[in-house]
Amino acid sequence: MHRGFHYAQRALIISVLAGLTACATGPGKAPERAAVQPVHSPEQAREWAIKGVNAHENGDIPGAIKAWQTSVALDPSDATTVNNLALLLKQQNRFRDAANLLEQGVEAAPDVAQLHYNLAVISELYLLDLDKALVHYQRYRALTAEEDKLVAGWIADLERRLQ
Amino acid sequence: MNRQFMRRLSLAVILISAVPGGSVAAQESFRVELGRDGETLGDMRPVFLKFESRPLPAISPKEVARRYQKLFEKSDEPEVRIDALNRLNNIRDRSGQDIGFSDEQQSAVYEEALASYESILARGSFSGKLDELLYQMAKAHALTGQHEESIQRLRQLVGLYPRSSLVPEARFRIAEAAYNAGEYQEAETGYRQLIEGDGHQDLAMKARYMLGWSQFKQGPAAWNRSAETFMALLDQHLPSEATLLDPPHTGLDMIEDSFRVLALIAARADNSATLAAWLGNRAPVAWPHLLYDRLADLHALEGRFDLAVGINQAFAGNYPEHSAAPDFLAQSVDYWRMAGDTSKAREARADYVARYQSQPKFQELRGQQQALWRDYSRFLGDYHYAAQDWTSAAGYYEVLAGHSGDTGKLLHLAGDARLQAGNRNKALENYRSAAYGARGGGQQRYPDAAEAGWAAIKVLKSTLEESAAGAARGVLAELSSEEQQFGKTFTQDPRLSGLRADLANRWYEVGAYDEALAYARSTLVLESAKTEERYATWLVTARVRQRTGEFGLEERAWRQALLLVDSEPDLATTPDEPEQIREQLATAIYRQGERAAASGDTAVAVAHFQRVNSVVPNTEIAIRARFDASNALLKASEWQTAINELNRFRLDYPAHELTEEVSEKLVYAYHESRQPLKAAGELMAASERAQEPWPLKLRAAALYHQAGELPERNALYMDWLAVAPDPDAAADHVQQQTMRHRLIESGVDSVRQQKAMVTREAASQWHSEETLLWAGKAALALGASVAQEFAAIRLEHPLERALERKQKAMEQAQAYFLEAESFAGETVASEVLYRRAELYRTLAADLMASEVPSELNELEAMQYQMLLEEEAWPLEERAMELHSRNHGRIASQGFDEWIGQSLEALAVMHPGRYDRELRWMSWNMEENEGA
Repeated sequence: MHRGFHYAQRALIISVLAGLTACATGPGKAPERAAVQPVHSPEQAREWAIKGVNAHENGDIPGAIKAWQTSVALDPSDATTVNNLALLLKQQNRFRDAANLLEQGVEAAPDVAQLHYNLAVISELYLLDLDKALVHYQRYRALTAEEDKLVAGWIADLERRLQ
Repeated sequence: MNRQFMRRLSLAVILISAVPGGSVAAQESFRVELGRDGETLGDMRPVFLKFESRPLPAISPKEVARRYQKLFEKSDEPEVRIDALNRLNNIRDRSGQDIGFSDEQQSAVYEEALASYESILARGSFSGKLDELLYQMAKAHALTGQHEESIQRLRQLVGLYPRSSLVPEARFRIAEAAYNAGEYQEAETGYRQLIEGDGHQDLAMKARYMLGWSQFKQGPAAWNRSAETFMALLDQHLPSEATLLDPPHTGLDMIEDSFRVLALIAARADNSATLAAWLGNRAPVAWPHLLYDRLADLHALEGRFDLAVGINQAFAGNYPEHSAAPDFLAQSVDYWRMAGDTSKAREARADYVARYQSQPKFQELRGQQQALWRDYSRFLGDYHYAAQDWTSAAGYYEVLAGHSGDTGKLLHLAGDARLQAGNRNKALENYRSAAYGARGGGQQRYPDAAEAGWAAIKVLKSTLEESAAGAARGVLAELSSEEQQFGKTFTQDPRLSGLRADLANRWYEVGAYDEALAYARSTLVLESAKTEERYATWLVTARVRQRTGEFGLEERAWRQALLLVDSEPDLATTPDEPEQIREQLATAIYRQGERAAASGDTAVAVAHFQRVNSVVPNTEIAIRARFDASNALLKASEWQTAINELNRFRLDYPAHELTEEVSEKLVYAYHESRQPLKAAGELMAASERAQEPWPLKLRAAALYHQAGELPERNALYMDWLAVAPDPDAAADHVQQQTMRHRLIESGVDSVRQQKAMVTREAASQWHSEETLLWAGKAALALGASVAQEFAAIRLEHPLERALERKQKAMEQAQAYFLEAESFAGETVASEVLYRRAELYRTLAADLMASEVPSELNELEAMQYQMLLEEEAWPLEERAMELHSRNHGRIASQGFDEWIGQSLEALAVMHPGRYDRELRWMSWNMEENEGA
């Protein structure tokens, strides 16, 4: 395929994903699938991810968010970028956006325990969605081999509070 | 009347009268002498009659007579001598010349001739005609004074030779002899025989004439017969109108004498009644007017003018349609004049004029009669005019104008007379006709037509002057119409311009501006218009333009008027008139400025306003114009120019009332031109002069605020809040709270302002969202400050006192926080919850950290510590509860910084539930790069 066409098509996909991300609302609402399936471009996604890292290290939070959003759009399966982008969004008090992004990440990478963990924390403390928090704590716990006593305590507390 | 005929008749009388007396006397025996009336009727004689029988020879009668005379003298033969004598007589009779023998010779000659006749008759051997011989002998006897013998010979001739051609003449002479002898009945018989017999027509006519005389001479009893005879003679000689024009020469004397005798008879009878009776019994005749005239003349000649006039009147009455009727009436005028009775002569003229003044009657008059009618009318008109009988005079002039070629002058006079009589309408009618419809002599316009037209205008002007206000407009319209006709007809009349100028003024006075303008225009186009007329016209024009709002044209008119009155000061009716015009001019310019300003044409408006000063420098209107120029500039947003003008205005007219408004306008201009500091400065300067400075200062404060000049603003705020009365309206409350808010923001006297803010808001019945928010934040700030003080209070011994102080501070802070929430509600709810929670948390912590009294032993110290924990525990619970409530607000209000801080506090206070660390992930770059 011609390289120029490839970039143009990718830019279109990025903009569509960004719009979808911005429009997503409601803690329990599943993210909508894009009408056009993204074209995975891990190489490009990685470049953007690195740019984001650099920006973050330089204290350029908006630049880091923008880069990582681009990276996620190019490769939604990159759980690391998804996770870290969600944490940056949380820092910006964009709790709903962060949760949505993590849910997308969980869907793309359901076995990444950290995604579940962070989604559970944000749901518990910042969205007061205790049910979702309990689900994802439990998923986290299931995915981790080592016993995390803290998380176990939190699950117990949640279960008690939800009774 | 047939004057020509009458003259001919009169001429005949004169000729007869001129015949030499000697000749008449010599021939008396064989001539009838008429035309010379005696002192009595008996003395009256018929006119002289001539007998003509044979034609004259071709040679000179005088020469022929000389030869016959010589033959008579030389011949011895009786026949020759008689014949010569006969011829000689014939020649003299025929030629009418005094030729042949003289009168003295003639008697001797006839004496000799008689001897010859006697000799011939005695011989009995006369070879000629005996009838002729007898005739000649009769003649010779007559010529020699032997009348009886003469008649005897004639009787012989009639008796012996009844068929002789000489018989008619013989009979005539016999009758004449009887007439001359006073035997009138015999003469009547003789004449009648001659008339009734066959014979000589000429003699018959003469016989009829003499028959009339014979009857007349018989006295009144026979006068009717005589009149009938004479009228028959007239019928015979004047049978028709044509014969009146060309009467027979031979009978002229008899005709004239017949009229004379008839007149005499009528005069001695019943005058016109007699004539009417005679003529009434007859078929219509051609000559009745001649008879009436003769009778009238007869009376007039004898001084009986009343009778003469009566005859004239009778004829006019009996024959009103007769062509001579006007002549009789005119003759009456003459008679009265001859009688010296001017009054009756005038009445006769009036009668004449009245009878023929109608057009049809007038047209029936002959040329001379018409001329006479005009003379009379003019005479009467002039007479009454001089007598100041104006109506009568006007009547005559008017009717005369209808029948005259020179109507203009007459109608002009009639107009004057009507005007004098007070009849303006008729006067107007006459003047107009004289001016526009009439003619002068011939076909030329009446020379004084313009004067007549002007007279009509003067009449209308007089009427206008006397008209009531309501009727004036109608008269004015009529006057205008008159002017138009006058102007059209007499374009060069020098009075026209004055009239038009006057009309322009009058139309203006009644409010008819279009008409006023039209007349003003029509005046100005006249080159002949005088300066004062132009001046008046420009004044009218200016006023009309002023009324109609055409200020440019109004200005032009005022300028023209000013130009004139400046060059000729006498034009002004009052000394201050030029100044008044200048003021009007200035006003006109001013109005143009106003209009231009209203339509947004600022440059023009300003130019107009500024022009005013050049007309009336430094007057009130000039000052106002300058002020309005500034206003126009303001309206046009030409700020800097307006500012400059306003400043100059204030400088030039510091004491003028308008100057008071300058400051406000300057503020406006500064403000609009984004010079708020200058605007504020202007307000502050104005406030120093104002009785109520604070409104100005507050506006200045607002401008300082707008300009960011906070120190000046804040100073004004502080001053105002220090003296401001309690708000009595919502706006005042908001204003003051706004000032406090701004002072707080500026950090000026913040605590005091915050306290005031809270206090005022709590006390106010008026609130706005802003004031509530500001009060809420002020309360929060105060609460936070108190909370800071609260936190700083160390719980030291004696603990009770410290705790009391701390508790009091906490209550105060709590009160502020709750008040803040009561003002600002949800807006400050998170912070209030956080701060309130922190109060409890702080107190709990401070309790736990409070100093244990040193005098306690270890156990007591433990118990004391437990006691503190017991005291602190509910406080901490309360703090957690409040923070937790704040955290729970995420669901309803969303996250905010104060919830975040509560969450952080909760993480410390209850880490098992709230202390969470999110986990970052790191990229496995190498792995990925290798993938």
